[in-house]
Amino acid sequence: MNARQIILDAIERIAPDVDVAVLPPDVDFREEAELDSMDFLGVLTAVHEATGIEVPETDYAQIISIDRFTDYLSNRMQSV
Amino acid sequence: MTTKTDVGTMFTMPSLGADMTEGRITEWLVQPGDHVERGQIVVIVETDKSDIEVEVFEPADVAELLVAAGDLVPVGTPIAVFEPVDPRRATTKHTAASRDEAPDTADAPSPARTPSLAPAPTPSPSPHAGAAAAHVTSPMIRHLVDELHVDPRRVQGSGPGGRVHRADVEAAAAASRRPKVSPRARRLMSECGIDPAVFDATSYVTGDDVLARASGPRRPAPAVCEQPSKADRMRTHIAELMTRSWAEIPHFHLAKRIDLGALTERLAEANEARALSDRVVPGALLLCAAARAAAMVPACNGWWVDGRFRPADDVRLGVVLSLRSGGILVPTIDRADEQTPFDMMKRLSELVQRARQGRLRASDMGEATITVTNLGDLGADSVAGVIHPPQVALVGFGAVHDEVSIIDAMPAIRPVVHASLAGDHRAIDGLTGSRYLTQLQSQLAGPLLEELS
Amino acid sequence: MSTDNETVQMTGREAMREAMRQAMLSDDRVFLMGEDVGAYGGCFAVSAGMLDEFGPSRVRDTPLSESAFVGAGIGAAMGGMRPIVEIMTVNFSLLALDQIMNNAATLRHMSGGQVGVPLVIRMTTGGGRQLAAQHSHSLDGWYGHIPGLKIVAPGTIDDFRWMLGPALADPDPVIIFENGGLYGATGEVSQTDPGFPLNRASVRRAGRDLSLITFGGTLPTCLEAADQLATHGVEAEVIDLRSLRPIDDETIIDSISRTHRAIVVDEGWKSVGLSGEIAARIMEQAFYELDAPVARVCTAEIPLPYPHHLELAAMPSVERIVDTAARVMQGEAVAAAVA
Repeated sequence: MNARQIILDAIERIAPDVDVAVLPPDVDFREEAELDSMDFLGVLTAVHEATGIEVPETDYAQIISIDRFTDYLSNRMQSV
Repeated sequence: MTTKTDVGTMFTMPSLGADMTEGRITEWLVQPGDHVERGQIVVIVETDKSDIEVEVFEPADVAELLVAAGDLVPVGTPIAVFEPVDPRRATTKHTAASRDEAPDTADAPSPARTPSLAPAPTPSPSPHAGAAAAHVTSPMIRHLVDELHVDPRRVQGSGPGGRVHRADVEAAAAASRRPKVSPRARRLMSECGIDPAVFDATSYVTGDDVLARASGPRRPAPAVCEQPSKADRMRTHIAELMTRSWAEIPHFHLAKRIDLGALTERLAEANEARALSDRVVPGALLLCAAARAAAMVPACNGWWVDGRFRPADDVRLGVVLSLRSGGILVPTIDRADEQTPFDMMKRLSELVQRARQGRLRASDMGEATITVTNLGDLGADSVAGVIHPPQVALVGFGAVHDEVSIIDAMPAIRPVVHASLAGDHRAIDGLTGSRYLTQLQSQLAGPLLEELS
Repeated sequence: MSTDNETVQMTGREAMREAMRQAMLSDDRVFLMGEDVGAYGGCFAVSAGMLDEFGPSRVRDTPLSESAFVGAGIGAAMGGMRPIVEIMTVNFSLLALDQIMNNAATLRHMSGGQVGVPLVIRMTTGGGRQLAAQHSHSLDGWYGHIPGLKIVAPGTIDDFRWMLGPALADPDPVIIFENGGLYGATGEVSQTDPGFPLNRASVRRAGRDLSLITFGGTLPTCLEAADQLATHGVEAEVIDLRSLRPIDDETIIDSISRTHRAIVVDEGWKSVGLSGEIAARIMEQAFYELDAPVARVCTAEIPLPYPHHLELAAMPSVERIVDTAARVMQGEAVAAAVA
């Protein structure tokens, strides 16, 4: 399972109106996709459902962009 | 929503909003022959604002569906016939296998005059009824029967040999009474745009009952003749509400910058210790604080109707949810001041989920006593809002962000939120509004923190 | 004794006596006439001592003929005097009805305004003192029907003291209905004229749940009923009509706009009476304020009995008012004459 795809699927599920294909991968995706705190929590929940991995609040800074989120998630998935 | 008749119970198109005049059945979730339990969702109704799931409040068997999915009918139109089910009968259905069940499941003694059994016994043509009528013999009883305009055949004597007592005549009079909707109640229903069908048809409805349900002083103009899209209809609804608010309510706005340093720290600790699914977002805490502040300053919690302020008995918090597709929904959280931060987060999650799917329930859409709009996540630092009539206040929150503050005479960087109160100057004044914001501030520094541990 | 702003305790008869005394001391045209008002001191002792103080030309004992002495009073008033005509009870006034209705009430109209009848008639009214069928009437409704008359009914001892003055000052006939049961009752009386207009009602007790509308002898009954209702969480507003013709609609309607329920308590009979008039006015002017039909608590439709327990059972009582209020709070129409 591709970490990036999991993340994009999660965003698409929470925000079906966003065209995830054209989301710039290196900017704050919360701002770009206009996700509020509940939406963001929803994305994390969807990622958790797909991977079993919970992102603690203290790690939020590491997943600001899709690129960085992908790196973070891949690392954690590998160490599982 | 349901009217008890002698042939089953008539399930009518409910009014799911003060200005709703008609609804379209999107989908029936039951069919004739089904048995439904209390709380079960039986039909989905499309309204201007959203699709609403409608539940029943008594166990029943579905007898007949009168209106098909896709049809648009006025509020109050019978859409199905449900046969109320005697809960005892439901129990005995399941005890076929256990004959040696304890005696408590056997038939309870028949309640002769329990007030909760609404319809009067139908006068039967049997000789027994004739005998009952024959017992209406004493002059006092005959006089009372005349005075109270009671049909003597409907009087059941409770005395020995069926003897009729005064209480029997009075009970028969009570049972045959027509529903009472007072002239003042009718006037206020008309002024507030409330459909009479929302009231139980057998009850006594006073003006105060109507005021308690009021959520809009005037019925807005009927919808345009072309079939506009759902989004258009929602937009129109919002436009009408906001225009009415701005035109009628003399708004004043107060703001307060509230330090959230202690709160965010405690929240982070709490969330660290909890699973993802139990995590609390700051927004939920802001809702708790707003509700509790409203409980402490009741002058902000209620409605302006019929020329004066009517304080509410409890805090029902309207929560403005912005829809990604555009538009807003404002579901209500009951007893919002009594919710713990975790309860509130749960309620909020449920509502957001249902709102996202366009599947809000009728019970989500109760009349709010005060509303909160939290635009923080969307970037604005503060908001000066528009009150939702007939409420008298709107609480606004901007983004939680870092600002330079003075702590112990030294500059420091602290997370803060700009809170605002829009007030109806007919009902409240600056002092009351300030009190509310001060309360809000102390709620965000006080017990909420302890409850997060 | 007492200074300007203070009050004194007096009985109803003392208050009316003082009112008459002061009227006669300040205006030579005022005199009192009626059966047994002089030597006997008045059938109910209201004018006791006044013959000694003012002499026989100002306190005049009349023959036993209501028609004659009411007629004489009318004549005296037309001639420029300000007579107080005491008719022993309203029951006997029936013998002077022609004088009252066809002369006193009508002469200003029939003379094209040339002649007025500035007459005050005082009548004792009401039942409950075992005076039986012929001597227990409450005919305020009857008299209130007649244009040309003003009808007032003091329900407090203070009104017993201060209603007479404006009544005497009125250029047209005023009838004062004094409930016999209040002559012996004690109450606070202001030392100076509070100046309350004769034609206005008074809210004696404020409330928010329902309005009890009454006058005269049933005012204390309503106040007691209101106290009892308060123990059940129902706050009743009690309105003392004071003036029965004209009726102060404004006070009544203002009250109902706040309470939304009304009970009229009238010692007269219900049918074709004053209570029906008030209910009609409420229906006309405050229909859309009502949360329940207007109820009426009146005397049973019978000649009043002699045995005390029966006459009390027939008349409005605290118990009946409270029972009626309980049903009105449930939105019930109270149609029975006797609850």
